Amino acid sequence: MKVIIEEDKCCGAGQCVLAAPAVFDQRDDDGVVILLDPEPPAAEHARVRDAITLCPAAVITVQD
Amino acid sequence: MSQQTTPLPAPRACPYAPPAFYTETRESGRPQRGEIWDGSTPWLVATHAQVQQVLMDPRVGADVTDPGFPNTDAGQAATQGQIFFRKDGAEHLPIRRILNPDFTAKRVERWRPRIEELVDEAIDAMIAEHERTGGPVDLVTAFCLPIPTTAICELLGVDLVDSPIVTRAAHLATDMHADPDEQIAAMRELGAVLTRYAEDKRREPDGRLLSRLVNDHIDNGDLTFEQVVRLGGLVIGAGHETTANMLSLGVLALIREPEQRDQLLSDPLAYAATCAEEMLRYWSIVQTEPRRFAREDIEVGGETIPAGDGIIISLAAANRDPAVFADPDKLDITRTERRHMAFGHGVHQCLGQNLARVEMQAAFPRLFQRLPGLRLAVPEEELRFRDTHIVYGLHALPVTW
Repeated sequence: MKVIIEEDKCCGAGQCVLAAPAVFDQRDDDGVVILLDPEPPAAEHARVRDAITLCPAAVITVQD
Repeated sequence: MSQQTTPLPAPRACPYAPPAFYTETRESGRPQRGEIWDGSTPWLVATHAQVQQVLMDPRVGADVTDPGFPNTDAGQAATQGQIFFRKDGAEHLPIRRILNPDFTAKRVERWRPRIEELVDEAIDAMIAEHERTGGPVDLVTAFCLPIPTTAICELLGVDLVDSPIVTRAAHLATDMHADPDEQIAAMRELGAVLTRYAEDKRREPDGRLLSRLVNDHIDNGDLTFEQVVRLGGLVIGAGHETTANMLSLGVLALIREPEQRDQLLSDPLAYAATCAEEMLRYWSIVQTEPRRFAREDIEVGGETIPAGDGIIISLAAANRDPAVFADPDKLDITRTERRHMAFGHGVHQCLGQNLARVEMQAAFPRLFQRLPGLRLAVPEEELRFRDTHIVYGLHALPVTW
């Protein structure tokens, strides 16, 4: 799994950090998503998919 | 369009369920028109999938001053025209990102110990009041309002916890039947107090949100002083009445359904988060919003919503959509399906959602741990719900134990 984020669209709601804290964080100065792990291990995949579903701005996509 | 249009917002028949017109619209699978106060007939959108679709569609606008926007009342464009979350695109996202740092998931987590203290202090005060008067305590004034009000004031860096100015401004701003002149006067009053605070922070920065706004974002041209004051008022207003109403309704639900309360108390650490999410879903307190308008023709559920038409979203109906939530009308604090939209969806999704979560996660278990015999002090039929407010809730919740 390869995770792709579109920073420009991010509103900083933080849902991805709650769903998959090992993969996503937020920048200190504007709350925009930080991708901690662009190729997360299998154990994280379900959480990444939750983050995709919960993200209000459709910022996250994955390539399998 | 049907011959007769249903008035929007539609009244509730039952305080524990969304209005019938909203659930009927959801069940029909298509948006339906309703009639609002000014005679216009915006579309009601009520399925989970369609609400999500509309709130994420860039062709759908949130600008409250646009002629297509279905205003809540005659004063809305005047009182809210300058608010960033009533704008789109470049007038919205950059301002939101200035506020974001104080509300990120991790920053809010650092407030948790302080919020737990506030919960215990509120319970201590309730117990003292109960012992002193021997009578019932109003949970809204003793518990539900003080916790989020103190938290948001401390986060902002202002000492207005006991100020009636804050409560009055927030209350009037969210009452759809309030006099627009009174609304404007109350907001001016709050603005005057915040102006003094903002001036003080210029001289003595304290690292809190208001200080950060006034010292880091004016000289570089991000914001004007007037905008800083307005944002401060917004943060206070949005940050306390919403959570306060979630707390009162959540406690009521746990009193009404003791098996849910017992489940929560059986393992508070395990269920604090799912309980908070379930209360958000079950109550969906933002009952007359979000409102939007179509900038272009858009297809929703087989219906064409023409450019310029208003759209009203029912979060409550969407959050009880059986397509997403099993047994949706049942309160189940162990539910793990998290796709509720109590905080809205799209780029305008609630800025303070993570703070609200921590407040609820701290408050619900602790209240019932310390007061396991908590019960209503009046017959349930006497409870008065906030039917005419943008944010649903209770005017008072008399309890004893």
